[in-house]
Amino acid sequence: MVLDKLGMLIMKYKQLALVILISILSVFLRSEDVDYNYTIIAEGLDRPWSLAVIDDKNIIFTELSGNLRQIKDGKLLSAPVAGTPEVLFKGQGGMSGVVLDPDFQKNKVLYLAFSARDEGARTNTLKVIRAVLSGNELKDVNEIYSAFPSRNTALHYGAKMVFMDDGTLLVTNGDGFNYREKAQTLDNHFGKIVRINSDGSLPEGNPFSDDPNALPEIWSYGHRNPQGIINYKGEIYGLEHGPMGGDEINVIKPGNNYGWPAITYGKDYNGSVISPFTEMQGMEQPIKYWVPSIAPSGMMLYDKDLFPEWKGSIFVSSMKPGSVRRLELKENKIIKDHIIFDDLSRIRDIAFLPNGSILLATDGSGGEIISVQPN
Amino acid sequence: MIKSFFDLLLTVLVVTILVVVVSTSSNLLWLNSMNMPIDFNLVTSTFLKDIVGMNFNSQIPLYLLISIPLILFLFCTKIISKRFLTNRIFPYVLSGGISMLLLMVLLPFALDNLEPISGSRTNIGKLCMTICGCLGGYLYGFRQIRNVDNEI
Repeated sequence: MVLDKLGMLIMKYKQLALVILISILSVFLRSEDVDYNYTIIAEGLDRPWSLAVIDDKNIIFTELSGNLRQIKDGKLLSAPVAGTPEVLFKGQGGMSGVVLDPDFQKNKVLYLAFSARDEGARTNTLKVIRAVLSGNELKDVNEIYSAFPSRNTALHYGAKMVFMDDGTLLVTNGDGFNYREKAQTLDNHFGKIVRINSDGSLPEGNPFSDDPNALPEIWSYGHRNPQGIINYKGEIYGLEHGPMGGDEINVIKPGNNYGWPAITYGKDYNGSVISPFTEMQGMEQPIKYWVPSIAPSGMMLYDKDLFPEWKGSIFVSSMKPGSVRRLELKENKIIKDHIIFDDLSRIRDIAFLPNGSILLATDGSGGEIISVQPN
Repeated sequence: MIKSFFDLLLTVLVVTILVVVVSTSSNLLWLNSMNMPIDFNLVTSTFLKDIVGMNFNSQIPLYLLISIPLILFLFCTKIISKRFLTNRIFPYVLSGGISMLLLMVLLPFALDNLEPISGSRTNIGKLCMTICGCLGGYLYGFRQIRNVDNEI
């Protein structure tokens, strides 16, 4: 009798019941059961773009507008680091990636990736410099990489870097937007990940070094705009900012072709089909892709114990709508995708401190650097 | 007046379809050059997807982008033609072509050198787009001249 009445009530208000059920389910599906809080450690920043962690209290980061800034002993230095190179701050170009030398504690060497205008020309390109950080100043600045050829657009630079276990440096290069087809040919740096020594010289073992028609720095190709690259125990993961849909995470191996723009899960911004193909023999599949786009911007693999539930997960910062994706990784496969930190604005980069706290850089003028720790 | 307005709409429709044909073809030709398996069914389905995508799923609908310079140029040509009592098709062909060429050249200026229509990134692509404009101008001019002849 009671059950009958309940059944009738559910039938009567079935739409309402459905909404309530979906709401409850969505809360359970999205909740992470991890209690955390935010601490703002720097604010009023001008488009923070890339983070490099020295230790728990000392952080270096770039501002796209052209600055390199330091947080020293937990406090933001008001003056930017002096002696940085002049950058082209336009579109997506500016002071972009920063990475510390593996021996930074001893040699204080760091590397900056940025867009720079060609002298006397209307073109520009991606450059990488190596410099020594002395106090709040860069010294011994040397250019170690310049992408070839130059472009006339100010979009899709890539400009992220990571050191491999053998001490060589990987630099990501975007396709320059107008030059996407060049990502499939090896005579240029558009849409490539290149591998160089830390002094800019050519290391041994690059996959195309014996090919007279290929640039010898190329490590992998067929990329669109790789905005994240990490090295976890020798495995290299690349994060690709796709077009309308088709953001990807790839396992980067030497000589591999990652398909852009011959295969893609995305569509062009003008609504047209970039390629009707999503897979092809000889072209690699991502281990994760997003449709629609989440506008990914940075990546880390969390390997600390402060958030034990999150250990071993890949974290991807995203700008659409502004959150972090925590991806559970098992044998190089993404098995689950969680949305976290979705109560902040667009997130431009993500890193973790040696003590396990997570660092987030929010995008835009008035950007912040936020530390996340458990309650 | 209504006839002329309908003719403009028809011209925009035809030029939009031609531009999509050029854009889709340039994409598929490149994919074909990469040894991707392109067949007739794929060409048809991609073209239909592009027609819908570029006009209804784009940040700026293609028909809107094309219609602004094309209507402006063709309308001015009509006024000038009437003023000078010429009844020739060539000015319409010219103005249709110029309107598309200007669109392809000026759009990158407005967008920091970005070329949003991928089919127009090469000089051959720009030439093809200009020819699309010329064909649109021809269609519009042909219908205007026929209307004048009918009135006589």
